[in-house]
Amino acid sequence: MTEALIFEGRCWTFGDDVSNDDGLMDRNFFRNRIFEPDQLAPHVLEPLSPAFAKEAQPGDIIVAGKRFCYGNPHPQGCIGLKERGIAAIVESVQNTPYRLMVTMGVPFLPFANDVTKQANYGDHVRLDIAKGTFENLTSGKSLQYEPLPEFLIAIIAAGGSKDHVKKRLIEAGKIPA
Amino acid sequence: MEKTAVEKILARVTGQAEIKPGEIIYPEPDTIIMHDGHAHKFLRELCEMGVKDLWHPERIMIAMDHRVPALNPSIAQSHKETREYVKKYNIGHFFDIGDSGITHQLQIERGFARPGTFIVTRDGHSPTGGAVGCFAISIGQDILPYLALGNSWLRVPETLRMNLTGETGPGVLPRDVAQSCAKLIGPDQADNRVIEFGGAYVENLSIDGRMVLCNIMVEIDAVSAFINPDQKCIDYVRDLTDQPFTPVTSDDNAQYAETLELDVSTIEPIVAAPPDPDNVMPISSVAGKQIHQIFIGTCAGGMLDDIRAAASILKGRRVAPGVRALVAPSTQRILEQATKEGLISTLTQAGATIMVPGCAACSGSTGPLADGERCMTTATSNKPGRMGSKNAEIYIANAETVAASAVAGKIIDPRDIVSPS
Repeated sequence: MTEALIFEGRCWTFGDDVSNDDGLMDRNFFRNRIFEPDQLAPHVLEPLSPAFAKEAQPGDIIVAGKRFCYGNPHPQGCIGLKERGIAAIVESVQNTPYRLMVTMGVPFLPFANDVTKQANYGDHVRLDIAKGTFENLTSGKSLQYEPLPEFLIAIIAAGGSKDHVKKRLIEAGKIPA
Repeated sequence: MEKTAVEKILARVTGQAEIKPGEIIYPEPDTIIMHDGHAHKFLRELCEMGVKDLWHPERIMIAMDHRVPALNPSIAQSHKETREYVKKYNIGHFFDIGDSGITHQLQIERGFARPGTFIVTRDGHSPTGGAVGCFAISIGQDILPYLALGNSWLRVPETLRMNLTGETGPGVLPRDVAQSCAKLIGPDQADNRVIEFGGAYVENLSIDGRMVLCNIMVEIDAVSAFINPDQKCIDYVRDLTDQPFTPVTSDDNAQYAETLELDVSTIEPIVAAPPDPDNVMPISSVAGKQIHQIFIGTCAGGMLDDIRAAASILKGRRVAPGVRALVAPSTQRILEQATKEGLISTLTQAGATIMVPGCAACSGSTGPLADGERCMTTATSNKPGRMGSKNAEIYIANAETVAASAVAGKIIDPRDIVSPS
């Protein structure tokens, strides 16, 4: 992940309804109260795609359909995804996971209509989260979507709600820099 | 412009005159709620950052509800840590084991959720507070900025109006209505919306019943649910607290994103079969399936109305051999009232096990299911793995259906017991 929230790498495609528990991450990691990024990262999306869990590289981009990350807002999947340095562009995300992904600092671009029709597994793709631009360098297509609101981009760029709060507290003089 | 109640509440807590759906706002809550499953973790994170004072510690409520009493030394340690942070940060309201209950009921019972108030919680089912005209939302992991600085972002939700008319038939309880609404609305129509319930059915409903309606909308990922406070609600809250409140209601011509109607007289007793709470079907379609456990409890089904309904079925009857019947009143006060009314002895005489007030078996931490087992429950969710094994099946139904099935040892229509033919 770069400061500018620009990603470039391999495209991994998923359909609609990639659930949070047992989709993004096996629920047992929540059950066992595991929060350590290095322990979670190797298991991201393992229930749906063991190949992704093994092979995805930093800069790679998930292209998924509707209701990405739906379900109980356990943070384990997002912690793992962020640690891997992978971004996501999805057709829709419901309110609770929308907040979860921002909070956990997952670089993502929601409400990208029909994006799953614009990229195939293995395409070379590029995503600029702050600008809302998705480029399929394999097909040559470039798509423009509405970016997330600025405050939310700032949270994601800071690495998530916790790091953003820290920044705000320092700015407010409530904790030492 | 005419406004919904939620828009008015958000205008107050942001100091903005106009609030528009879709806009990003930074509201300040009247109360911030956490429980033993996470409070220690969030407070530790702030402590490690060097935070000396919280934004408004007197606006924070923590209750022990998820893993009580501690199930192992590691949980005991986290409970101890929570108690230490409560002292360190002068947290205003702490409910420890023996005087606690599920936060979603406790917020009402102890007077935090009052008409016109705004509450944020980490846990999901706080929209239960909408039963008393409170706008309560779950902000998930994003609780740190509220604790430390008093605000975070919120995308202003739209409001979907759900009108409920008619009267329910025999064996149909608010839970059946709530699940039927969840099915009718569905996750797509609920997304980034508040579900506002109204209509003659809601006006006649008890506050416990209103809690069920609001609670279940979480399962289709609504932002929250809300019922305009009427005199019944105001009297109920006045009995519970001396804290002041200003009831807020939607204007007659408020702009709703959508309005749906449901005649509750058309609803039969239902079950929600695995794998989702909105997989709602008539009980007849699954009747006869053998069960191994029942569980009556949780923020969706452990209120006094639920305990009364279960006891009305189990009075003078026995739980079938091979069925474990677990009952957990949502709060300590509900347990006390149920004891006073003789309901607890009715249940234990029937062979039920009374669990500690709190979430109990809902998160699978106590009374989990083994592979291949089947459970009937009033709990919130039936997703595979919710109560133990992923290879167990959870069926959601109302408290009468669940109790009747415990007696039969299999899923049955409660009307077979209530009005035998």
